[in-house]
Amino acid sequence: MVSLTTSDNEQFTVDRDVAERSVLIKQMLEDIGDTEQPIPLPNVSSNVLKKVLEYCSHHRSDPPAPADDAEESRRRTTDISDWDAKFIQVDQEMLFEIILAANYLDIKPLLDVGCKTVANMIKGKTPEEIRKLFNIQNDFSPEEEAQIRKENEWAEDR
Amino acid sequence: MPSRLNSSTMDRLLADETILRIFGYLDALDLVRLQAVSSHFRALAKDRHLWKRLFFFAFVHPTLASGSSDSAREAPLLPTLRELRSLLLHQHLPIGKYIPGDGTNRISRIPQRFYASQPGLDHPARDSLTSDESDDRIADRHLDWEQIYRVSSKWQNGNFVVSRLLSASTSRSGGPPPKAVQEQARSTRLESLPTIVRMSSNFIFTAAQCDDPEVLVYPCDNEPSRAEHPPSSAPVPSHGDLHDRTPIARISSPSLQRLMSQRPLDGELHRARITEIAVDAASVDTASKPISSDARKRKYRETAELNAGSVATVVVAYSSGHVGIFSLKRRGPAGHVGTQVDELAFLDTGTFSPGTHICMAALHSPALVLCSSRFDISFFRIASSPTGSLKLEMVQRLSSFRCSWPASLRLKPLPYHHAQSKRPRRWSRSRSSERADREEHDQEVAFRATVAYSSPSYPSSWSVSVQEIVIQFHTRRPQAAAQVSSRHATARHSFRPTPLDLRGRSMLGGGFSALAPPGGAAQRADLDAASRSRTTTLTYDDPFVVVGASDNMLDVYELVGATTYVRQGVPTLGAARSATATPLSSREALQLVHRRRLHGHTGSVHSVALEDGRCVSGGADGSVMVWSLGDRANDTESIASFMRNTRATARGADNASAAMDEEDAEQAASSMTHVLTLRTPVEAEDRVQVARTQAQTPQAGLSLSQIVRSRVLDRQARGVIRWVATAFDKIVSVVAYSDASRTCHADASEETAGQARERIQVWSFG
Repeated sequence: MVSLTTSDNEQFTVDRDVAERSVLIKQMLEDIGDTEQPIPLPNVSSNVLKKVLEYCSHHRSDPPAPADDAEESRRRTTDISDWDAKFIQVDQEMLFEIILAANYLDIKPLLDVGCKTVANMIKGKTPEEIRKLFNIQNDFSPEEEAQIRKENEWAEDR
Repeated sequence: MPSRLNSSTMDRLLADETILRIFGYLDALDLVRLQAVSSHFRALAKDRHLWKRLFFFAFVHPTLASGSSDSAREAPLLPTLRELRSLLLHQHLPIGKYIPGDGTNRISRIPQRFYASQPGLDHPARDSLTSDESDDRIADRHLDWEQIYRVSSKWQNGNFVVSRLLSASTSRSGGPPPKAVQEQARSTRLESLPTIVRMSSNFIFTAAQCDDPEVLVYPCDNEPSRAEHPPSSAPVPSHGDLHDRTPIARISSPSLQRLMSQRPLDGELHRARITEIAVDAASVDTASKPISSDARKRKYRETAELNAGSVATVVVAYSSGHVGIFSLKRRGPAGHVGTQVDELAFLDTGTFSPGTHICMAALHSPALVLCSSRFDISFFRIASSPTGSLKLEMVQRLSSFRCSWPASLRLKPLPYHHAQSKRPRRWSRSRSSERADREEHDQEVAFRATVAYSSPSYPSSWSVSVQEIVIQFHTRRPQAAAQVSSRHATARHSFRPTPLDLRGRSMLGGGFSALAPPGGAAQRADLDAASRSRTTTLTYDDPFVVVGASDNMLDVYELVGATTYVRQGVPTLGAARSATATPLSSREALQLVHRRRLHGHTGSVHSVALEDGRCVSGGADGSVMVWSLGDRANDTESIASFMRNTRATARGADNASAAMDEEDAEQAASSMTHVLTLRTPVEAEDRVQVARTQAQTPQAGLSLSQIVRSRVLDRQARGVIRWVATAFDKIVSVVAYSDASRTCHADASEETAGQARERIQVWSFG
C-alpha cells in the first residue's frame, strides 16, 4: 500500500500497482524503497487525484505502455475506448486538470486520453467556435484576421 | 462560473508542449483553423514538426496511416519530390526517430521561399521545447513543412491560381535592322518554334520567337499578385483567377548588339533568335548557403565562385551560334526591389556549321552541354580565367549520324563511389587529407548527360532511344584528358493490339521482328497507324521517358540500369559495363522498358514535362493533364535493385529475376494514373472562369460524353497547348489561340496572327 498526499492535504491510500501506473511515483518508490511515509503530490488536488486514481485502478492490470517510438510509428488516431470515453466525460476544467495531473504524474495513457478528448472537441469546429469553446480571446486585428483567412483558403477548399 | 472565465482557458492552463500534443491528433484543416483562433495558437499550430508528420503520412507514406477515414480516399496520390521523400524516409519517421536538421542539405528543386528563414520569430513558444537547438543554429533556413503540405494538397485537389505572363511591348534598342535583312529573315526563318519557357526555382524565363533576341524574366512567387489584392478586399476565389505578371528583368546581350552594329550586313547575325535557354541547376543560391564543413566547402567552392551573389545563372543560345552566359542578381534589401542582369561571357561556340543551331542545352556548373540541331553534342567546362571573366573550354565533342527530333537532354552530376567503402559517397568527403590538399586546386567531377530521342523503328513506326554519356573531367586541369563513356538503349516497339494488326500478333509471340510477312492490308493499316502516331514530344527525367504522340497517347518508358554513381579510380565505367552486357545480365545494361500507355487526351499531344514522377502533358485539345507515374526508384533503390539482380543472376536464377521484373513492371504500371485535367480558358480575356474537372475514374480516363463535349468546344477558339513545363509548385503552359477562320489565310499573316495570340499561363499551386 502507498499513501499519497494532495495539495489540499487529503491523504489517499492505494495499492502499490495502482500507484505505479504513474511513472513519477514508480520511480520515487524505486528511489526511496519501501516507506510508510505519504508521498506528497503538491501539484494535484484531491478531487483530481480521486479521478486519476479511478483511472489507474481500472487500468491496473494493463500491460506497460509501449515505448514512445512505437507510438510515433502510426498516425495518431483519436479513438478512445468506451470506458475511457465515459470516464473522461467531465467538465472542461476537470478535463484540463486531469491532463495536467497526468502530465505531472507521468501517466502516458491517461494523458493520451485527455489529449484525444480535447482534440475531438476541436475537430471540425470553426475558429469562432473554438474560441467560444475554450474561452480564448481573439487577439487579431481585423486586417490580420482577413489575411489569415486568405492564407488558409486552401485548406477549406476541398 | 466566473472562475472559469479567469483561470481555466486552455491556452493559459496547459503547457505549450501539451497543447502541441493535442494538436498532434488533428489534421491539416483543423490546424489551419486553429491558426485563426489566436496568435498563441497560431504560433503553435504552425509548428513544423506537426506539419512534417502530416506531410509524411499524407503524401510520403499514406499506407502507414491507420485512420479509417483515409481508406476512403481513392484518388491517386501525386508523388512528391523524390529528394523530399527520401529525406523523410531516411529520417526514419515511422520508427519515431528523426534527425533534426532539415535545412542543411538544400533540396534543389524546392524554391527558397519554401524554407522558413527565421524560425525563432515564428515559433516563440518552441524555444524551450526543442531539444535540438543545434538544429535552429545551423538552419537559419529549414523546410517550411506547412507550405510544402499546402502545395502537395493543392496539387492533389486541383486547387490553383492562373496567372498570365505579359510580354509588354518592347522596342529594340539598337534600332530596326536594315529592311533587306528583314526580308531575308522572313524568307529563311527558323522552323517555327514555340515560345521557349524554362524555369528555375526562382524565375521563369521566356523567349518568344519575335524580333528581339531577348529573354524575359518573371518571378516565380506570387508576391506581385498578392499586392494587387489587399487583404481587406473581398475574398477572391482561389481558382479561376487570372492575374497578370510582368517581367522583372530582360536578358539581352550587349555583346550581341555590339557585334550587330559592327557587322550591319551580316544577315545571320541580325536574324539571331534565341534557340535555347538553360538554367544552371547548380546555382540555386549557393552563395548564401551556410558552409559548415571543409568537405562541403570543397564541394561548393567552384559554383560559389562562379555565381557569387547571384541567384541564377542562365545560358542563352542564339541561332547565330553564339552562347551568352548571364547571371541574375537581386538588388535591394528585400530581395524583390530589382534584379540585375550581368553578362558573364559571350562566346562564339564556333563548333557548329552554319545551317545548324543549338537546340538543347543543359547547365550544371562547371559543366555545360550543348546539342545542335544535327545532334552534335559538345561538353564544355566553364572556367574562370585569372582576369575574372569566364571562359568555355571544350572538353569533348560527340557527333552522331542519326538525328530524330523530338529529343530531350538532361545533365546530372554523379557522386563518386569510393572503391574501399561500401556506400556511395558524395564527392570527396572521405578522401585522405594529403590528397585533399592537392585536390584543393583540382577536382574530378563526373556528369551524366542523358539524351532521349525518337528513333525510327523500321519498317513503319517510331520508337524511342536513350543515349547515356558519362563524362569525367578535372575542374582545374584542362590538359588532363576527360573520360567519356556512353551507353545506349532503344525501346522495343510497344505492342499495339488492334483487330487488324496481324503483325502485332506475331510480335506478341516472338518479340519484335522486322521479318514480318510483307504486304497485305494489315501492313498498310499498320503503316497508317504509325504515320498517324508520329512522336511529337518526349521528355526524360530519371527514371522515366515519356513520349507524346499525335495519336493522343502518352507512352511511359522506364530507363533501367542508368549510371547512378562513378567509381573512384575505375577508368571507364560505362564502357566496361556495356562491354560485359549480355542477355543474361540484362539489368546491368541500359534498358528502356515500356511501362504504360496513358489515355486521356482528345487531341495530339504537343508537349510533355516531367518532374520526379509527376508528368504534365498538354496538347491540341487545349487541356493540360497531370499524371502520376508513381514514385519509382531513386538512386539508392536502383543500386539496391542492381545488387539484388546481380545476386540473383549469380545464383543462376534467371526466371526468378524475370518474375521480379514482371512484378516490378506490374507495380510500376499500376501506380501510373491520371490525376487532374486543367482546361485552358476558352477566351484569353481577363477574369474567365477556368473550368476545372477532376477525373473521378482515374483508371478509365474520361467518359465519352466528356470527350464529345470537349470535341465540340475544340471547334471554337480553344487554345492549343504548345509547350508545358512544370516545377515544384507550378505548371507553365504556352497556349496558342488560333481562330478557325484565319487558318486559310496566307502563311505570313497566319503566323503573325498566331504569334500575337500566344499566351503564357502559369498555373500556380503554391
